[in-house]
Amino acid sequence: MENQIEFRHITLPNKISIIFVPKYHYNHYFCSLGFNIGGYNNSYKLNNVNYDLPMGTAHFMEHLIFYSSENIFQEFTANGLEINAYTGPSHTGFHVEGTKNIVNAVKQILKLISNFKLNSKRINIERNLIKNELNLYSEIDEEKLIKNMILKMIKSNNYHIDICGTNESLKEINENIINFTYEHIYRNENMLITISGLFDKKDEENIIQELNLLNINSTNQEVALKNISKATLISGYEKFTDENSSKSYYAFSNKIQKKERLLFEICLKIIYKSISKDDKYLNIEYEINFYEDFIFSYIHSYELITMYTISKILNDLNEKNLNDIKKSLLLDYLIECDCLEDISYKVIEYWTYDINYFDFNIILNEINLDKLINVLENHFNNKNKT
Amino acid sequence: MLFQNSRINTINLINPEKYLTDNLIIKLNTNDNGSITNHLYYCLFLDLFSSELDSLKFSTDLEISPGFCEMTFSFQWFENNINESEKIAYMLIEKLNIEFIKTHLLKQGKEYLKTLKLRAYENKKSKFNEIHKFINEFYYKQNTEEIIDKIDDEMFLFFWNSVSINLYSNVRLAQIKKFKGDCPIYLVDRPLIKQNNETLVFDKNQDDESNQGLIIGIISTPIKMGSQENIVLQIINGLIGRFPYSRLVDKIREQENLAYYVKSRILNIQGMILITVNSEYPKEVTKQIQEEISKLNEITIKELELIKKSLIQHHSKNQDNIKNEVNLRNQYILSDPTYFENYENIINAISLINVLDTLKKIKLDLIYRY
Repeated sequence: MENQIEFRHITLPNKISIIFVPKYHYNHYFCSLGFNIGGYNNSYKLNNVNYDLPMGTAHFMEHLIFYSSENIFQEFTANGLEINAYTGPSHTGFHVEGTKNIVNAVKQILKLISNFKLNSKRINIERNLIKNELNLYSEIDEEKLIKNMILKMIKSNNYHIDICGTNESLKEINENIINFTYEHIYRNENMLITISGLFDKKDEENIIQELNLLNINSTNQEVALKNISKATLISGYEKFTDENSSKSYYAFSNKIQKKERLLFEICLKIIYKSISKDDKYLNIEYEINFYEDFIFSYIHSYELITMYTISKILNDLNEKNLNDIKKSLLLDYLIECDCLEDISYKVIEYWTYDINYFDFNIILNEINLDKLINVLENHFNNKNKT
Repeated sequence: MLFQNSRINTINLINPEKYLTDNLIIKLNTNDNGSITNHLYYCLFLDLFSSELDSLKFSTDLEISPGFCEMTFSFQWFENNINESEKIAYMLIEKLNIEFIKTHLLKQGKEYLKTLKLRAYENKKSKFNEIHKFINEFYYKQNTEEIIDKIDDEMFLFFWNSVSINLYSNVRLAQIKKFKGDCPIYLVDRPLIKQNNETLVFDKNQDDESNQGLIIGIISTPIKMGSQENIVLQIINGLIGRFPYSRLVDKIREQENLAYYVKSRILNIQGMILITVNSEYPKEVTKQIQEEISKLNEITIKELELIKKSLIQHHSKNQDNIKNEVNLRNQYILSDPTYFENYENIINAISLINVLDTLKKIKLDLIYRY
């Protein structure tokens, strides 16, 4: 299969990594600054000292950094730019998009991050707004059910908790925690910049020149981000039912090495796609989430799913329908690559696991029936339930 | 007149080199209630194209109001070969032929339609429908459930007022232009029924005000979709709550810290602006919405210029998303065919006086809390 995505990845002497993904026919560009601290990082190690973080710290910091400048939206809009930020499970992203003056746009968002000074009045304001944000998500019935599934499948202290934290953990986040977390983690070496869309080679070189001059809290100390969750997994599939919507859910959890994430994700998608092929009206939907070194995934449908054993699915697969499914997965991937925001999120998320997301095509191409069986047997390890 | 539509069949073939995937966007209008029909069409299309779904991605969106529904069906696929791309595009367009669908339905029989309808009812369960249901009842005195019950198997399938076909694909235009649909044209003329001159505040759960979550403000206007004033409405929506610096977002979120989620959007077909706030403080939010809406005529030149910049930036950016581009191209196709290309000039030409004139015509009818 062809359709390799054009990209350039460079790491500068000051340890800043940049990935350029040019799209010559696009009207706009999208620049995202990703830091490898996310909703589920609740501790890190620096110079052999452990630092614990209350749940929701990464998200709280995202809010504080974003609103550290007054009239931030007016300032960016006046230059024809739009900014936003988000917190994912393993990273925090700040992005800017526009149609002109890409070099200035990159400089302006970098300035926002690198000049962060905590405004202590803002802590209480953001704490209240985040409580409201938490309520917003907690009112969604499906979210509640999924959190319940995670809690039952992964007996851990934090993965069922929202990325925003809890009302209690928000109270623990204080000025001191914010300041030392910013100083220790918001640094050149913990950042990946993705720039996609409309720009040319000259813009690339100008951006590199600007970034070469940048130092965010640069020291020679290594920060090791880790998670202190003590998860006990129920391996294999368990059935859950949503009484409100009469949907059936089958949730799955298992251990997985970080590096194998992309390969396993593709193999699992092949299985889900082959289930939905079996009866075209099932309207199966699925989610695949990775947390550090394990996976949580579920499929659901309004109609009753007959649960399959992995071996039955594999028996029904042949090279032809495997190729059809691979083609369908490639289509999903290319659709993602057509959207600047989506591709930026994926590239940064996989970078936190030391994976190049643009390898998707290569890995997909290498999968045949033997490899699929091998990967699935290794991971399911005969523990899957029927 | 609420809305006038007399669009003819259009086939656009746009910038095939731009995307990695091939795309076909079909816009289809029906003149019934819409909501259930859309879901039924979705099931029908899913069925029609099921044998090709491995290589196709299919999705649907809708905008509804009583008497009119605009559905958007999107197909995405990829081929490295022009002949294969063309084959898929042609196959899709051919299957959209009304005669083909009629024949397919007749062949499948009545039971098949019942199954489609049941599945459509299942599909439509969503919170999104709640506010549309309320708008139907409040403004048009139409009970959505009753309308759906009356729908007959035959009546709602083939009222295609217009269809536009937009292809972003590596194909030869001449091949695609062979397709010619046969779609009747309808006009929709349905006035809004105003309930009261004052703003009404309505609680869905009147006994349990403390647990209110969503606060919806509905602003009605006599402004038709596609008119010059409709473009001014974009400025007013920007002033109210579309952008992070908009009045309601700034006041409710930043100054009063009453809510995290504050947003407004235009319902184009109805000519309305819908304000959505999620908050634990419904009384305070209601007060703030009423106060801020009453002060919209204090708009400054600085605010106007900022909103114009955001709108122009969004217009440009939306052209990098196929569905958004098709929506933009279709929005003013009748009233101003140059609208899409001249957007920047059109927006920049809007004066403070234009905005103040249009502001006189809008009214906060209702605050609905549920």
